[in-house]
Amino acid sequence: MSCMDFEEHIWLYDELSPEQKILLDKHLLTCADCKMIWEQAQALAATSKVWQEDVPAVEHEAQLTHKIMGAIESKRDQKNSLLTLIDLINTRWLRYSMASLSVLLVITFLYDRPFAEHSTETVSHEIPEAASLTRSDFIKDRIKVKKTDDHHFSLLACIENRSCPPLIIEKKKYYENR
Amino acid sequence: MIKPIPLETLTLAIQGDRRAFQEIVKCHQSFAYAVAYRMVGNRADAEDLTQEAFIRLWRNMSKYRADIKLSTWLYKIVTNLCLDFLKSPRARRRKLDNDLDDAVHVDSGLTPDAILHGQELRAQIEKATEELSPMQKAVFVLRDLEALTVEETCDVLSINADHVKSNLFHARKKISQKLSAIYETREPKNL
Repeated sequence: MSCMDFEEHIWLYDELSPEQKILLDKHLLTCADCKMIWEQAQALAATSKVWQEDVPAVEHEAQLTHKIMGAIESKRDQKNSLLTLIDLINTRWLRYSMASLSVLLVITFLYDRPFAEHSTETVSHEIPEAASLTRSDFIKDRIKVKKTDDHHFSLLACIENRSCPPLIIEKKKYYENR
Repeated sequence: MIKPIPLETLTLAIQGDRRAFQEIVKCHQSFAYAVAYRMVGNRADAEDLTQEAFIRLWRNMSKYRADIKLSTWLYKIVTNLCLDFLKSPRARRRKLDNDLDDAVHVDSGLTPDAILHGQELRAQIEKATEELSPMQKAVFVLRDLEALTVEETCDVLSINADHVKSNLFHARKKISQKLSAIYETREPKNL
C-alpha cells in the first residue's frame, strides 16, 4: 500500500477493521509524512468532540412549538376544503368516464367528413344502370361543387342549421332523378 | 439525548391526534433544530427548516411504521430539507451573512467567557465547513457532530457505506486544511 492509500485510512481511522488499523499503525512508525497527517487527523477528531458537545439550542422553545403547530393548523384548514372537492371526483370510474367523454367530444368536433361523398356512394347504388354513363360527369361535378363552401357539408353546421335535413333530402331526390 | 415517546402518544399521533403530535414536537424539536443549525449555520433558516420538517412529518404520520425509529425518520426529513436548502440560491446569498451573534447557548450555567467560546466554536465550524459540498457537510454533521453510526448515516442519506466514507474522508481533510489556514491567519487573543 502506498502513502496515498494510507492517507485515506488515516482520515477514516475509526471506520477501519482491526487488521487495517494494525497495518496503518505499523506504517506510521516508519513514515514521517503520514505521521504528520495522522496528527492533523487526531487534532480534528478532538475538535469534533468539542463541537459535538456544543449543541445549538433553540432560543425560545415554546415559541417554536407554537409556530409549528400554528403552521400545521393553517395547512389543515386549507387542505380540508380542497380535499372534500377532490374526494367527490376522485373515483376511478369517474376518471375513465371523463377521459372517454373528452376523447368523444374531440373526435366529434374535429370530424368534418363531407356528406356529399357518402351520398355519392348511396346514390350511385340507386342510380339505374342506364344512368351509370354519366357517373364520371357526376363525379367531376361533385368535385367542383365540393370546392365551394356553400355545398361543403359539415355535420356541425347541419346540426346547427335546422333547414339542413330538408336540404339533404332535396339533394338526394335531385341525384336520384338525374 | 432524545426522550423516547410513549407508544400510546405515538399511536394517537398516527391516528391524527394533534395534541399527541404536539408532544412529539416538544420532544424532538431541539434535536431537529440542532441538526438544521449545524447544516445551515443560521438561526432563522434553521427554525424555518425545523418547522417545515415537522409539517412534513405530520402529513406523513399515517405512513409511519414501528420498525423504524421516529428520530431516524425525522433526521431524514430534516437532512433532506437542509440539503435542498443548501443547493438553493437563497443559501448562497445567506453565506455572506453571519448572524452568529444570535446563536446564544440556552444553558444558563455557562459563564460569559464560555458563551463567547461557544460562539467562537460555532464560527469555527461554520467557517471550516463552508467549502464542503452539501453532501460532504451532511455526512460530517451526521457522523462527527451528531455521532450517528455509518449505518445510520447511510439510512438517513439513502447512500451506501462507500459513499459515506468517501464523503467523510473529503470532509475531514478539507476541514482540517481550513482550520489550519484559520489558525495560521489568526492573531493571538488576550483572554
